Amino acid sequence: MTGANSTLGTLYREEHARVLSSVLARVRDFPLAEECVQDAFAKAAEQWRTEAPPHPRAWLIRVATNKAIDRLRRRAKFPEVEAEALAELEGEGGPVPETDSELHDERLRLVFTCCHPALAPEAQVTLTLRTVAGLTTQEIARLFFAEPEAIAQRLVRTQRKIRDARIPYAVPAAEALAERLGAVLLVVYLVFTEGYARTGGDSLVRAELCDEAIRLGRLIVELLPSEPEAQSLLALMLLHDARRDARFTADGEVVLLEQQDRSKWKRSQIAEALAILEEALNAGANGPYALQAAIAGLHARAPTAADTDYLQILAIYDLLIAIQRTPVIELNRAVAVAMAHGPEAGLKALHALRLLLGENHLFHAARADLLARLGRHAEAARAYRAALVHVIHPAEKRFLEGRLAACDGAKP
Amino acid sequence: MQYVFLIYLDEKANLARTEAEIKISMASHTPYIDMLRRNGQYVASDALGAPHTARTLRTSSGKPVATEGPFAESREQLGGFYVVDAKDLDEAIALASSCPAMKTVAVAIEIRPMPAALPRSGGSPGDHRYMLALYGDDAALGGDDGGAGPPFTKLSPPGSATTLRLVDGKIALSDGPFADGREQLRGVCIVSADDLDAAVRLAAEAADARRGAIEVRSIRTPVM
Repeated sequence: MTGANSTLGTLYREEHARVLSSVLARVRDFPLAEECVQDAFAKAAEQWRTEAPPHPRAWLIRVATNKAIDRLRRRAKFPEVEAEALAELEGEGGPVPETDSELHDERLRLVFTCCHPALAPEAQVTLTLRTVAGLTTQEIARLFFAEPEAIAQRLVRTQRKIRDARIPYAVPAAEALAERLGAVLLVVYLVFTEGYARTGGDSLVRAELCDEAIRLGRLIVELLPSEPEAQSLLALMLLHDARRDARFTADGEVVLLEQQDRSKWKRSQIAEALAILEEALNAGANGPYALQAAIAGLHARAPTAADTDYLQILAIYDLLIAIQRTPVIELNRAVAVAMAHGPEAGLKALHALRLLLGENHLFHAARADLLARLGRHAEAARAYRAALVHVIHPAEKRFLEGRLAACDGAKP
Repeated sequence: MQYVFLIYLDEKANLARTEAEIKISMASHTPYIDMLRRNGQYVASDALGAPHTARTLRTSSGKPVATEGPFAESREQLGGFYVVDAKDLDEAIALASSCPAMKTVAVAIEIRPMPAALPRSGGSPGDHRYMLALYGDDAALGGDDGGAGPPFTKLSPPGSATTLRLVDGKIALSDGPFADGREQLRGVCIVSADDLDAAVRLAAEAADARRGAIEVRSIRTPVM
């Protein structure tokens, strides 16, 4: 890969969203617009070898838009496409501005279109990564352990649906914005957890996914500066990600939060996250991302595990449960109960969840840990065995096996 | 652009309804239709006759063969439809969400774009009308367009569908058509005929080895 090509690769990733979103403002045919944007970047790859134009973004948008309108007009020569349909497909008229500074940022429209509720969640994620984050089909396939062909097909189908069903290319009106923003934030969060929660596989891939999610999170905050939940999500991701280097040993073994070497936590990232979170909370953020970020913030602030304010954490979990009751949150709350009020209290809280979480290895592992702390090693061993029935990831499996061996060794 | 709302019912629950219940739920559509007309959004709507009274034509060794019963062997069946003119999918979703059927009998409403407008169905009051519904998969219909041509009004492919359901009292959207499977509704045609047999004969003329199955169903609502 030559220097020029990798610069173009960077340009592609940084500019794809801006260019596509501007073309879509003028040409309401998603697959066509995307195709023409690809062509424009390819043309740039050829023509800019010697010299890039003074306003590269406007250049790309103009070339892609002209190409798309050209193709639409050629289609109009065939009877199936009526002039009326053509006019509708041409979106807002007006020529593309000559200079980059005159261009409007249309990316917010693109973001909301990609995350429209009439699209399946995987479709939303794939399309957002492709068109907003500017990842290539190959990159997406690699990150999600899928075949590039399958990703490409999904992208084509999704873009066709947007065109054929006429999913509007617009930022939702104020009444709908909060709900629609929820879908956007969920897409970003799904990408993040795909990277963060994955314990198997390439650590590089995990890091890339988290980085992409954080990049998307920053973009949303940039485009919607007065949305505290968006800020909260960014803070949450930054806080979780700050622990990245401490979560696994060099050999890829799991290190629990209490055991992590906190000197490996990224302190400046934590500081940034806490500042963003404070701003969000002051602006009235009180949704699930804000609360989860507040919990993560309390962990991040504690210099050592023993300094962690678990009473506060538990109080926030109680608020979180009231607005978002998921099995994982219930489980985490029960663990906080144990940390705040002791293992017996924790076991009681877990007992109440046994039907909800019977198939969850983390539930059994949490029980086992508390039983072990109480010296009830035989019961702890049984619980670790139950956890091993349900665990999937090899690194987690090894961790549980280690714990089980310790229990068996401790039996009288 | 026109969109068709395909209203699916739980046939077992539907058959258990009393005449009075049916009358009330049919009447609940009147204010909705009035609203659509006022907004210039109304194109067409009909309630369909019972699925077990339908006939389905399939082509076998080049000849159309009619069997009794609807196309789909499922508990959920198409019970009626609307065709509306809406500016985009959001408007169509808003209209479908407020369709009275969602509060009465509907299990789901599938929204499918209809790129070519439904022709004004002629007919005089008192006519017997029938809906011919063309079902097929991509292979049978030769890809996206394929055999869903005249006399059928083509629906956009199933990939462009969005389905509304009521989940815990709230409208939930899902991507795609209501029914699973590769054979999906591809086109519709409304005809006047003396009786079901006559309608089936008309359908046989439209049948084709390339095409999938054609379901012939009576239309309950009178010509407006």
